[in-house]
Amino acid sequence: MRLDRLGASHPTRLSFLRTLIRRASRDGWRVRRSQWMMDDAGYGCAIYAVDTGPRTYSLVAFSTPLDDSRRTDRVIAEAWDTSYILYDGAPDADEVERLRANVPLQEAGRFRARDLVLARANKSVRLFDEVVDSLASGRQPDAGRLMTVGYLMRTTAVYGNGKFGMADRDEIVDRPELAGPFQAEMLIVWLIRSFTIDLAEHVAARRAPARAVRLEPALRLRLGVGNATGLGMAPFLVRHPVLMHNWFLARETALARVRALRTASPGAKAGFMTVLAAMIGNVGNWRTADMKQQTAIAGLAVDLAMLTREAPAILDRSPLPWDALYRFAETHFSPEGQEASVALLLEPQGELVDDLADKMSADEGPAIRIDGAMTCDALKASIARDYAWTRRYDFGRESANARFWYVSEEKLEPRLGERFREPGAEREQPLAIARDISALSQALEAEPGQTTVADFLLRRPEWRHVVRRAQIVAAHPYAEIRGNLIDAAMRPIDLLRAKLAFFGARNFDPRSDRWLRIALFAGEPFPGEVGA
Amino acid sequence: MSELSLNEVESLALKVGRGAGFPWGLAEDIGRGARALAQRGFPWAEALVGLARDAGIWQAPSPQRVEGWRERRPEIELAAPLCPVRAGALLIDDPSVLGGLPLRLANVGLPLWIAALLAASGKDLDAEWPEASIDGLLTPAADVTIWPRAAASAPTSLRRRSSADEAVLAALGAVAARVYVPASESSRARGAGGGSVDDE
Repeated sequence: MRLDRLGASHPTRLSFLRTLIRRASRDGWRVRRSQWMMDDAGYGCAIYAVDTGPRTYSLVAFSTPLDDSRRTDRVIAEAWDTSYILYDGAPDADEVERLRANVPLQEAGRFRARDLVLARANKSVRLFDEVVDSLASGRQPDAGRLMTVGYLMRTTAVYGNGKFGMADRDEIVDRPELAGPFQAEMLIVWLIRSFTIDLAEHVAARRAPARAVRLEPALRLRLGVGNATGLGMAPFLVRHPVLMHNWFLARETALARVRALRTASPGAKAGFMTVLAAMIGNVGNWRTADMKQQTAIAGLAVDLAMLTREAPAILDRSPLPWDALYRFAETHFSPEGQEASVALLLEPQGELVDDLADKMSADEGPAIRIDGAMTCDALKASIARDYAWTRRYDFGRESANARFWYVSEEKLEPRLGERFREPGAEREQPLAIARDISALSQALEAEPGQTTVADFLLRRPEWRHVVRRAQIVAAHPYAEIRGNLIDAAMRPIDLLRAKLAFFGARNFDPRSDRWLRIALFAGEPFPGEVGA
Repeated sequence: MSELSLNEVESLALKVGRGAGFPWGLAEDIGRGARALAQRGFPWAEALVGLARDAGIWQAPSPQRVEGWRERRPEIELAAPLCPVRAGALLIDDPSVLGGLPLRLANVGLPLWIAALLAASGKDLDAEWPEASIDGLLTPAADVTIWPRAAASAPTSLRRRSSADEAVLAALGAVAARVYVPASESSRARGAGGGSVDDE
C-alpha cells in the first residue's frame, strides 16, 4: 500500500469496466441508437438506449462546435467538443430539451434525479481529422497511428453521485444491473466510445457519400476512450478508506486463491501464455514522454520476456505452480513487472475469482461511528500497530511538510499547494494522514491510559477526524495509503494510477507528476456486441 | 427554491460546519446530520444558517458538566447555550452517559442539531424539546430531553431529494467559501492539462 507500489498498478479482470462487460454479456444487454440528429459537420444530438433487462439507460450526447483555442484538457475549461449525460430511462422530447440546455454547460448546468452521470470529451483533433479524411477517401486509417494515440476522444471529467443536482449514488446502489463501484460511470464511458467512432464515420459519410468507408472492425476494436485525469481524483482514495480496503481486499483474495491452486491445468497454462503474449503486444504500444515511465515500461518489457521464457517450466514443475510463478516475479521483476504479473495470474482464473467483484462496494455508514468506549491505551496500541510506517517521516523537516491539499475557489476542485511558498495553508484539507496520526500519537501520550476516547474527544475535538480514521483502519487493513501525502517527493499520479487501474485503465501516460492520460476500453468489445 | 441531491446537502453542510469554525471531525458529523435532516424533511438549510450564526456563542460541554450528567445531578442553567454539536457528538460516541435513562440538558442551542446527530448516528436515541412539536424546530435554545429508544423504530420513508431557498443557499455558500483557497498561478499551471499543449 505504498505510493511507489500503487504507482505501478495494472488493471485486472476485477477492474470495474471488466465487471461491467461481463455483466452486460451475461445478462444480454441490448444497445440501440435511438436518435441521431447530426449535421454534415457532426454537430447535433444522439441518443443510445441500453436495455439491461430490469431497466433502460440512455446516453444523451451533444456535439457542438469548439474553437481550437478553447480546447483544453484542464478542468477549468468552459466548453468542450462533446458532452454527455447517462439518463435513467428514455428521455422524452422535453427532457432532451432540458438536457440540451444544461449538459453542454457541465458544472455550470443544473441536473435532476434522473440524470446519473455527467461527462465531456474533446477530440484528439489531429487523429479525429485523419481518421475522417481516410474514411472519406475510401481508405482505412493508418493502424500504427491509431494504436499510438489509442482513441478519437478524451474525456476530461466524469461526474456522478449527486454532483450538480444529479441522482445520489443511493438511488442506484440497490440496482443489480449497476451493482459495484463506478458501474454507471463505466457505462457512460463505454457508450461514449461507440459514439466517437459513429461520429467520425458519420462526418466521413456526409463528406463523401459515394466513397466513404466504415472503420474496419479490427481497427475499431483497438480504439478506446482517452481520459485526462488530474488532482481532482487524488483525494478520493483517501476519503473512502473502507471502499479502498474492499478493492484491495478483493484483489489480494483473488491472488491468494490463485496461488493456493495445487496444479495448473493445461487450459489455464495456455490461457496464461495467451494473455502474456497479448500484454507484451500492449506494452509495445504503450507510449509516454515521461522519462520515469519510459524506464518502467522498458523494465516491464524485459520482465515479460523473462516470464515468457521461464513460465512454462515453472508451471510444469512446482507443487503450487501459480504461487511459484508469483514468487518468481517477486524475486526477479521490477514493481511494474510484479504488478503486471498479478494481473496476468488472475486473468485465466475467472471462475475462481470473478465472484469477488461483488464484494468491492462499501457501505461506509457503520464504519464512521466512533467507538467512544475504547480506552486511549487501546487506541494507542492500534495506532502503534497500524501506523508504524508513519515513523519514517520526520515532520519537523520542511520537506515532510512541503505541501498542503486545498479546495480551489475558482473550480471547487482539489489542489496541492506549496506550504512554505503559497498562501492558504490555514485552509488545508484533512488529507495529511501520516502527519496527523503522528501528532495524535503525541497528544495521546499526555492522556491517562484508561481515559475513554469519548472523554478525550470531549476535551480535544480537533482530533475527532483522526481518531475516526484510526478506528476505521484498525478494522480495515487495506484502508490506508502508506505514504506521506504532503511530502515534497510525493507524486500525485501514483494515487491516480491506483484508482484508474481499478477502473480498468491502461497505457498510463504521465504528463507531469500531477496529471496523466490513459485509455479505457481499448481492445474490449463494444456494448452493442456483447449481449447479442 | 432549488432542488438538491442529498450529497450536495451533506457536502455543503460539511463546509459550512468547517467554515463556522468546527474542527473537521465535527464538521463531518454536521454534514451527516444535515443529510439526516433532509431525508426526514426537516429545514436543514435554515438550521445550518442558525449554526453558522450561533456557533460562536455556544458553550462546549465541560468535563465537569458531563460528570453531572452521568450522576444525574440537576443542570444549573448557564447563560450561554450548550453547543448541540459538541453535546450530540459526545452522546453518539458514548451513549453510556445516559445509563439507559432519559437525560435532561438545560439550555441547548438549536436543539435540532442534537436531533440531527442522533438521527445520523443510527444509535437508538431521540431528542425532545417542548417547542419541537409546534413550530419551534428552529428554536435558538431549549431544554432538551434525550431518550434512549427501546427498539429501533425505523424512520418512515426517507426522502431522496431535498430543496432549499436560493437566498438561504447563497448565505450558506458564503460560509462554505471560507474553506476554499484562491488557486495560485503555479497551481493552475501545474494542474491537469496544464503545462502542455493539447497536441493530439
